Amino acid sequence: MPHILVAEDDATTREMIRGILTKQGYDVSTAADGMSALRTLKKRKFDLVLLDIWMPKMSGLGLIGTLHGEQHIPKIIVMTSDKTSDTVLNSLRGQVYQFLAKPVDAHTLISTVDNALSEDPAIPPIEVLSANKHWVELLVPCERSVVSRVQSFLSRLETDLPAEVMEKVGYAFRELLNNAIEWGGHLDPNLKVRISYIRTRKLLMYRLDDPGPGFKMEDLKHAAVSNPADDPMAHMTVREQRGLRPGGLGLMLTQQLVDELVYNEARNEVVLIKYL
Amino acid sequence: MPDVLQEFPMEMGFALFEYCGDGNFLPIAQLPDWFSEIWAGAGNASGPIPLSQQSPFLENFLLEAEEFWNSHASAACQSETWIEKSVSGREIPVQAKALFLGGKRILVLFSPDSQFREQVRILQTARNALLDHERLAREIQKKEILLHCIVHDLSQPLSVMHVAMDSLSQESISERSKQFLTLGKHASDQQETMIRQILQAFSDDLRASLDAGTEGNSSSDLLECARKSMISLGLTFDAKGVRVAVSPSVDLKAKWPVVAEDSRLQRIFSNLLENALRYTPAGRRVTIGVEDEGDFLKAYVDDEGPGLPQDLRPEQIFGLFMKGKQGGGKAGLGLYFCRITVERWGGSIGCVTLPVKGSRFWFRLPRSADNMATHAPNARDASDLTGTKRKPIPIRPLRILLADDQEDIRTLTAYQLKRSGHKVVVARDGIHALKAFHSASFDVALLDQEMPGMTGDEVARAIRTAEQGKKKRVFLVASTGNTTSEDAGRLKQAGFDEVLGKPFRLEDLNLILSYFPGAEPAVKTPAPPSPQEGATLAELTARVGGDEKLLKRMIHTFLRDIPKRVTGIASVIRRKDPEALASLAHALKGSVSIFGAETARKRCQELQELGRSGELSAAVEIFGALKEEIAKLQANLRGYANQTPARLKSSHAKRQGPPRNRGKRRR
Repeated sequence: MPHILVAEDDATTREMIRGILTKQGYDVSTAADGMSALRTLKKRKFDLVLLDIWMPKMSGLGLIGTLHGEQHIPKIIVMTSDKTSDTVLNSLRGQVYQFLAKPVDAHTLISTVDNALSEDPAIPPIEVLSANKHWVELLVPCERSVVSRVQSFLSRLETDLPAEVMEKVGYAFRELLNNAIEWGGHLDPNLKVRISYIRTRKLLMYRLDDPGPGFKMEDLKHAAVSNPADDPMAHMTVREQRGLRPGGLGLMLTQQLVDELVYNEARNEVVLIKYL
Repeated sequence: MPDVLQEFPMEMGFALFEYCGDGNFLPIAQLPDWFSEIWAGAGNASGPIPLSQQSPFLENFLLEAEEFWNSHASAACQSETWIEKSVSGREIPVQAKALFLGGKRILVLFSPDSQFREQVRILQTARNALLDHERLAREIQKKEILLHCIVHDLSQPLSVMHVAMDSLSQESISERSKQFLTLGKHASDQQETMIRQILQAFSDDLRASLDAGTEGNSSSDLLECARKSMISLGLTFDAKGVRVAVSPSVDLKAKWPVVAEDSRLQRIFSNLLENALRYTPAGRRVTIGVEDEGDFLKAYVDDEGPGLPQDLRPEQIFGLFMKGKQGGGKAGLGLYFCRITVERWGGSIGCVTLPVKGSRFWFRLPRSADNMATHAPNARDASDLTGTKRKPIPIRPLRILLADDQEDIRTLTAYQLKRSGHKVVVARDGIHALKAFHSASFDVALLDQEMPGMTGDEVARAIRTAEQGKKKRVFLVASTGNTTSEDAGRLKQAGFDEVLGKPFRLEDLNLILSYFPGAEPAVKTPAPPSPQEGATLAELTARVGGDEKLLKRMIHTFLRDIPKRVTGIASVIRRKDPEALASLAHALKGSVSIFGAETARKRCQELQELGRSGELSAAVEIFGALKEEIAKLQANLRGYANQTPARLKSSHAKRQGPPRNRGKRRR
């Protein structure tokens, strides 16, 4: 039975999370501040820590810093209503597994915890190359589950933007990352996709560099984006012939959602730009 | 003997002899042609013929005949038909008869040639007809599977296309792209119409054959059909040396009426029997049985084979093109046919390995009642939605559970629903859908019919069962490719409120959602401040996954600690300790936001920010406002905590007032 530590100074939240996870069959311990969380972690091996950032005696980020260099570091899910980019960036540097928005609800809590615990331990962690407010750069393994994790981090860096822009950019980024992981990295967790997030006053930019050899537009007959002007449904026929699932609308949608979508010559690097 | 009588036996095909003893026979009339054709060498002499030397069959019969003549009995002694070969090689059937007439020992030989040939022809025709029937039955089975595939596989991509294009048209796109989109929509509309027409033709076809046979009442006797299949397969079983019988525990006199149609039900039994035979060694037995399960009747076929293969799950065994690794399964269509047919009738099917030896294949079908057909809702019910009977109401934000095994549809539909302001939880199959249902509270569940592990029907039944005795009832919408009236009736019986044909349009879905019982106009302007601070009890219960006990414990903890926490904040403000203020305000923010106290949360946030900035001058005033909000929340939560379960539910119903603007907080 997986051991979970809930480190949270608010008694009501602690009670709720313990109640929900215990009912799911998990073995749950709790700590009311950073110091006692650290003591508990030293006494016993945990699989997962649900960590509040703002706690008396030692903050969540402080705790992450202290754990750095320990032999066994459990997976950490940060629970926060905190929207400051510093928290996000520090969590990224501290190898936090995922973010969970507060106040939590049972459904999201259970699915996030289930996903984190069922992940293959052999999958390498996300490497943080830069965690600067204006420039975040990550190396992520080509594994499906990283998409939602990366997005849980990056979307918190854009919280000052209008909801509609966030939604559109989020969708486009997700689509491109999925493509890079699936087509470029062939879902091999030992291959990496390099993600850069660059934020200036006037624009928001993502750059994705996948480990594949790239592709030719001619090879993309199965995607709606390469349909000739007079035959907007051509790719459907192609997909059917190749026995692919229906779809192929991702790139086209992505093009519509952002301001610029630029590929390099080999087409294994793509830049997505949204003007602010 | 007059000449006429001399020739008459010959004309009639008889050869008449008087027995002279010693195996010699004297012809007493002219011999027919067939006789000379067989025994050409023997027939030309006018004297006695040594018949017993001519043929071993005849020789055998003559032994019997001699005994008969010697006994002087009055009856006749007659042989079976045997075949002689003529000199030219033609096969001629011959019968012999010994008579004792007027003291004379008479032998009559007769060739039933023409009758015999007729008989053989009839037997052969019958055999061919049987084979044809079997072949046609299999063809029909294939056709039904094809129909199923059209419904399911061919119309699935259409849903994706519709939703994708609907999504696109809501984006800001160029005029040129809009033209493409119109083109695409037009083409997919055409395709949809064509598929619908094919389906209509097929289902009319099926319906016609149904109505002709049963005058519209689609009810069959389970046991009767089982026996008919058993009889038709009797020879096949005999050939393999396997016995087949109805279990002795079955009441043979009782009626076993089920919702089904005779020929397809017999087909199901035949498929299960053939399957059982395939795995049963010679000398063992196959047993058929039926059981009464109340609303359902169950039939089973037990074999004494090796049991189910361990590497296959039961649902795989009933999959398309599945067949056993050893053993000569055919195309893997048979059991698949059983499953889709049984499920179409609203039943279920499965198999288990029996404890001692062998396996059991079972299915259960709803017991049919006479009034069922008249009560089955018409498929047009779904299209009635576009009528004017009910007034559409603007959609309010709903909590929606969306279950579909197809990722495209799931993603796009969820995207659209979220855009419309709904809160959506997605599930990739039936089991996850049920899990999600138990861990949160939903207004609407949109369930795909064809999902691995657990079909939409099964999920719907499970949800309805779980809801028994509860006041809250989730609004169930089935999304299905099977939209005949039969299907709509079955789905409504499974507990669905609405049926949404696939491929579906967002407009259809929105329309259905707008009829959602209790739907209220969406409040565009921010909700007026609630006199009570905090979320409704229903919302809170949903947040903790429906665990009322846990919620009570949380409320209790909060109410117990709150005085201490409020005085704690007061004292750090007095002490001017910004760090402690930030920390305490942060913790309190967690609690109040769980209870949905938005204003209180904002005050906590402000205090926390003051604490971080170190500038505490405004703290006293904000703290005063916070205390007021906390007082409201306390009163509210005490009210919840004191409610008895019965009162708790009625107050939940009353408090479904105008929805608060929840979306804002969540972003």
